[in-house]
Amino acid sequence: MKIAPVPGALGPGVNFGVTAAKALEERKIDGFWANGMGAEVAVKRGIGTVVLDIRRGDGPAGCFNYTMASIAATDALIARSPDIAAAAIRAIVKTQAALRANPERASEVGKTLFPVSEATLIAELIRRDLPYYDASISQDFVAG
Amino acid sequence: MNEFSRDIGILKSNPAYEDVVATEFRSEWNVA
Repeated sequence: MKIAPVPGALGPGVNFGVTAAKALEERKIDGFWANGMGAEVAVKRGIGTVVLDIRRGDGPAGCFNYTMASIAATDALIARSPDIAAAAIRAIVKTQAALRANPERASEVGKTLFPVSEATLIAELIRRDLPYYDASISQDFVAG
Repeated sequence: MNEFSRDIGILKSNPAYEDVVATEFRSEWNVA
């Protein structure tokens, strides 16, 4: 097995999941570890199968924390501009709250980020992942 | 994160939770 970057997945504005599914369809890769969008596109197009759904219990329990989106900042930025760091956290918390209240709002943003076929999937993906929307970082995540 | 990072050889120490997470902002993410 050779683990390598997905062709074309690097760079600003590139959606990794969409690009990974396309690379799979074009047989540039044999598989990928990606987000819900990548997996959903691959399955919907009939070009891939979900082998491991870590968040829903596949694999060793410790693998749950292998998928952990986060925002990192330097200690220097936090010391210099704590207001900016706090504002970033508030933005995440408020966005998650807005999506919990109405997952369809993801479609508004999705239309600006994804091709039409993928944009129609985003609200359902968000709805499915709502139980995991939490802006905090657990002790288990840091230790594991 | 710590254990995984040590396993793959990119971390030698064991940073505390407070060293990794900006807990001074805890009140921001605890708002439901």
